[in-house]
Amino acid sequence: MMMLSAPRSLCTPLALLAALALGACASVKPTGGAAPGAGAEGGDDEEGADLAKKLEVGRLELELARLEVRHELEGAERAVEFARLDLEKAKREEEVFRAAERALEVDQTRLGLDASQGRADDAAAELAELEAMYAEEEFATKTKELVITRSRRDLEFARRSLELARRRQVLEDSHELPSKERDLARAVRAAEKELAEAEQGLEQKRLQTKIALAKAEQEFAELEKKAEKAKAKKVRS
Amino acid sequence: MSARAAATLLVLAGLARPAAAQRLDVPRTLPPAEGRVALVRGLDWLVANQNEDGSWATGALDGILELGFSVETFYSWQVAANGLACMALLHSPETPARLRALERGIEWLGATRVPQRGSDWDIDFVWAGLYGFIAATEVARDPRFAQGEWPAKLAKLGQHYLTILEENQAPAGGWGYYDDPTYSRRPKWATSFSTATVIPALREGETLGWVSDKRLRARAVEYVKKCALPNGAYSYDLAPTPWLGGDSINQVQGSLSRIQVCNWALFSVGEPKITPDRLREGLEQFFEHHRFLDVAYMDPVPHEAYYFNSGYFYLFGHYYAAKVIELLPEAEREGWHARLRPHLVKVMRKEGWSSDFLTSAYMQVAGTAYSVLALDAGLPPEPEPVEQIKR
Repeated sequence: MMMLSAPRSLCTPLALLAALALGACASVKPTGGAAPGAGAEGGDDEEGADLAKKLEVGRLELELARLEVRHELEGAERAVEFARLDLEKAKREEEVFRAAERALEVDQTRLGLDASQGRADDAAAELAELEAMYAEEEFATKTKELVITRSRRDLEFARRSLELARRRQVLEDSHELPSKERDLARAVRAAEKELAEAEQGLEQKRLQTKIALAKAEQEFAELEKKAEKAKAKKVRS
Repeated sequence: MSARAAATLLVLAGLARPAAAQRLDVPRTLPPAEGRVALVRGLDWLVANQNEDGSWATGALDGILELGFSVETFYSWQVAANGLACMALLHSPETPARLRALERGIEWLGATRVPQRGSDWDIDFVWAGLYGFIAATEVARDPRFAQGEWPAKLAKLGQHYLTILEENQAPAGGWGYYDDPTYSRRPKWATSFSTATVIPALREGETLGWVSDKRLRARAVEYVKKCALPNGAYSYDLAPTPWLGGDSINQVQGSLSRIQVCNWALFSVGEPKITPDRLREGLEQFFEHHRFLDVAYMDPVPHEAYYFNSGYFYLFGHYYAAKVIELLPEAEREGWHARLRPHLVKVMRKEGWSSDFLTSAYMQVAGTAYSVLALDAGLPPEPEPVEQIKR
């Protein structure tokens, strides 16, 4: 979120103005050393030196304010750029999902389902072959029992695995994929909103800084003007 | 993830398996006559289930329980199973139908393309190399195939599969069927049991003049010897520090089938440490702890059972147990075979086929072949039919 407050250094010239108001005349006194017994002239010189310093500080602070304005505007512009990139990314993810990823996930699940079906078919075929092999086997009774039991269990597991794969496919079709598509669409809308806010923030920042800078420049100009007046007054006297 | 890592995960997933042992009330022993009935059933099934082109099974995946292997692997397993089927018919009592089936099977093995590496990690085509080559050497040794076009055909057949072995023997000397990162043209992993299967055949290949580099066998023998553990077991694969704690697969209970094939292989090539007593000890361990093979039988998850046994250890182990028995003095063989038969007959299906892991076509063919080979090894020659004696 952008900062909408005026730059910190823009406030300083106002304080300078208050200081100038207290001793505007004194600030334009000559900078040379005061003659003995000339107390009033010596005070004017000090005020003049003080005003000159304040004028110099005011100039620096105005320069600083201009830098800060530029910095804050650049920050706001970057925020807009980032928001624009986020929006592009969200849109691309949504497009890729609709164009390819959704089909890929559907096909992958279908492949898993077909593989499960294949394993179940293989297990059934293997059990059938073992049952045929042992059909007339009279001697290997224990081995027959062990092998057939194991093969039947394998078939049962393969069938349960197939059933799980079927349920997984239904869940994916009915819930997971539509939900993911909604999330991606929502992400696009959120990114659009972020961009709009960032653009609005930038515009606000431009106006705020323009106003604040204009005020600061105006205040500094007034300070200069007072300094000029003070200087002219000293020349006349 | 490598197959071994995947297998480890499967194993870990299976550790929660409740204790359960499967037992069927079978007699402790079975006489040869009952073994012969089962043998004929198995052989009939093999003959009846041969494809038009002379092959068995299919080179394509025919069930969903083995998804994940490379496409080529199913063909590789078919080729390996066909090698075993030919071996089963080769050693069986001859009938015209069996002989015809055998000849067609061998023709197919020679005509079919040589399997290739399936993938970076999946090199199951090594199984085709192993049993393709073993079958070729066994057929070549049979007098029925020592004349006409057969020797040349068989030499070519053997060379096809020998190439796989030559190019895929791991630097440590064995053969495996998976590779691990960093993958390399010559794989790095091997197992004791797959390596052992081919050792006697390599020696036969040398005799036949098919294998010129004897270092191939020497490296394989060294590999298997290094896998031998003080407890009588053989480690699954060669490791600087074999895992032996708890229910490790390298305990005797997890090594029952490997003990048989490794003892058989090393004894067959004259390894002095493998004495007849070591063979007997291994067989006793096989029967003492047989329940661990029973529990794993027909479990479709590899290495899930106690001591990391797999279903497919079962018939493989029984076949090589029968081969071990055949290495013992003749007088004591029937006693062992009689103890082996019930475990083969009890798992044979009424149609005549056997499998211990899955019922995919190549498993049925390989399982039946292992069963037939094991039964046949323990049976005396069939009596001649009365009509034939009269003639």
